[in-house]
Amino acid sequence: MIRLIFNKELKELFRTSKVVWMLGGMIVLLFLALYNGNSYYENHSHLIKESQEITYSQFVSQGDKNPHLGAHFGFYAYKPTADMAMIENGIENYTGNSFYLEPHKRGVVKFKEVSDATGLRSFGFLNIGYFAEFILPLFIFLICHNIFSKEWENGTIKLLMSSKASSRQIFMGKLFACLALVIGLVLFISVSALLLFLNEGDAPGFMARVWPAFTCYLLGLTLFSVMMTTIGVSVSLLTRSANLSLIALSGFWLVGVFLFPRLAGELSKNINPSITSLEFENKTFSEKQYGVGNEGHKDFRRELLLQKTMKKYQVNKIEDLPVFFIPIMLEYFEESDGLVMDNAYQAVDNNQAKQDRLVLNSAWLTPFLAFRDFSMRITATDMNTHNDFAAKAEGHRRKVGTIVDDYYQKNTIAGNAFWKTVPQFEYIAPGIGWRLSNAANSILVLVAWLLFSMGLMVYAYRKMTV
Amino acid sequence: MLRAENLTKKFGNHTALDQLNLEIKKGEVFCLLGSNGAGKSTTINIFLGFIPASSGKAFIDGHEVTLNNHATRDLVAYIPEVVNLYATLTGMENLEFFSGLSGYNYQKEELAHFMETAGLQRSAIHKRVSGYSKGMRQKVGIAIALVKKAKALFLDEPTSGLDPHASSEFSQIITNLSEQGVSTLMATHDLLMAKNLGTRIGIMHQGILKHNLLSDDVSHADLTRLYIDIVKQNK
Repeated sequence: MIRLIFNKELKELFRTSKVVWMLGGMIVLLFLALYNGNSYYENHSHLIKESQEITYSQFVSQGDKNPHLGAHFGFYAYKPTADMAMIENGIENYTGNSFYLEPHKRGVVKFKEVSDATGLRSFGFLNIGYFAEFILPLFIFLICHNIFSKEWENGTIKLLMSSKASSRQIFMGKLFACLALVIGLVLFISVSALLLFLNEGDAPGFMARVWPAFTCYLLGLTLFSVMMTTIGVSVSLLTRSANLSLIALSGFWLVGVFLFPRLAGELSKNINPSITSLEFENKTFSEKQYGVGNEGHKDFRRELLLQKTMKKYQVNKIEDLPVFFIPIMLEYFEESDGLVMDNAYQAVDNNQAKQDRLVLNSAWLTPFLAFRDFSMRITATDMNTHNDFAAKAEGHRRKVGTIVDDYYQKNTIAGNAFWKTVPQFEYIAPGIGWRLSNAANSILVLVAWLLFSMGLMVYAYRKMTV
Repeated sequence: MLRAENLTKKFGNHTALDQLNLEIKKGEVFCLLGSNGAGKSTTINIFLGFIPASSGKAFIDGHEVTLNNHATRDLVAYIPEVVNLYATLTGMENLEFFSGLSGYNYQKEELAHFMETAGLQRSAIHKRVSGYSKGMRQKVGIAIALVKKAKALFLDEPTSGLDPHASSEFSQIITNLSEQGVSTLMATHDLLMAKNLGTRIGIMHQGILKHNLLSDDVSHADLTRLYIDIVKQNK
């Protein structure tokens, strides 16, 4: 029975010209999304790899210099384009990708692509992620909205309900027919994306890193699509009117995709206002002057450090020290200022986390937001991964500072041989375990929505009467 | 074959069907006459299990009718006033679908034979239903009833809007089915058809079965007079 209804529905769908046109449109959009994603990855990943090599080679070949001055020459730590950015680039365009590594200057990530883009970019970047989060649900609702209501509107429900098929079988047959189309699209996405990944597979460890995350992404996308289809079919059954069903589903889509995230974002900013750069500067300036625990003015602390150093080397005058005092002082203030900046950035991160939590809490009311969050976290194109990069780049900056200061204590000139001992910056995004735990909240919300859609399905088919 | 015992249906305060008692034997054609809202379609809908009775019971071949009851669904076929089919499918595909849903797996040639028995020309059966006339759709509806080998047939104004020739063809098919032992409950406004086709005729008014007559015992003129009297009561 289910197969009969399934076959009939598919036959009807493929003979409906608007469905065929829509499907054609979806395929064209998918190809565009794949092309865009691939171009983005190709351009960015190569550019970043190349830039990282150039900046480092300039640093290690700067020649003979005072070590401290040489360290100020600095070099960039570039955030590599995420392995899965060809299908989902999340907030990469908005967060910047380069971090300048220079002593006692805490870096910030710069060069946000959107700052060079026109206002059109605010409409988003068409890639697989965008397609799956925004366009696919709309397509699903357009396919499903009249899958049941047409039976009432065309008057075929009485013939159907006077047959041997049960309500559950009728529901399942129709649901599976819609799912066949939707899963067909998801399969198309999977195979195409896989081909793109395999094309990049020559990079060392690339496929090994991509496989687990890609599998999780596809699993999430499949469950999201099943959930959307179940909701679409159930609403079509409950409303019994194609117009009403279309209004209900497109309203749900519009509110969930555009209105709610926007409202949640504004609300989160009002409840937990972002720390302004003026506040940030004021706080860090004062703490840098007097220390995190108000240990005293910089001059006082400098004098204290000198006394301590002379005591260590059992001398009474700075000139008698067997090492240069300046690098010792620089390292002391690097650590002290570093603590100030760590605390300040931690406060910024905590504030962001609070804003994120509030936005994600609103995903209990709209699954689109939860899937978007899941998609970014699994593909490592989210804010937490970005913060992880920034933290590791900052760690590398301090490491470089320590290496230079240690060398500077006994040497006044550093040549290329020394500069080459400073390690290159390398960043690999955290693995799938970290990503899954990072996405735990959105997974929980998606599972809750899936259960809700199943409940709605049971409620709907139990309500099926002529 | 079909039995109603004190069958009552209320929609809020409105009683659509009031204590209906009825028995239709094997092979009988029972024609229900009555103005709009008399309770004819409600009776059919309860027998088909589309809506539940407020009180009383309905039986088909000894099985009590309840909502979504498979035992009774197996026994019935239904032809509404307008047989709405899936417009993008052909007549044959519609028939194949509904015969499959009835648990039968006929060969294409057998299905074509059912179509022809129902009066549909062979040249039309592979055309999409969107191009069918109302009469052609009714014939597919009959074919659906035929493939199901139903023991009870429920017809709701089946000849409304059909031309006289199609209507006559339709009557002949019902007569043939009746001879094969199929019981029929038909709601209609067509007095002449009720007189000619029905074994018995019932006249309903405001949910109550006012008359239950043997067709042979009443002339067309008497039937018309009785019916008009009932309609006048309504006014």
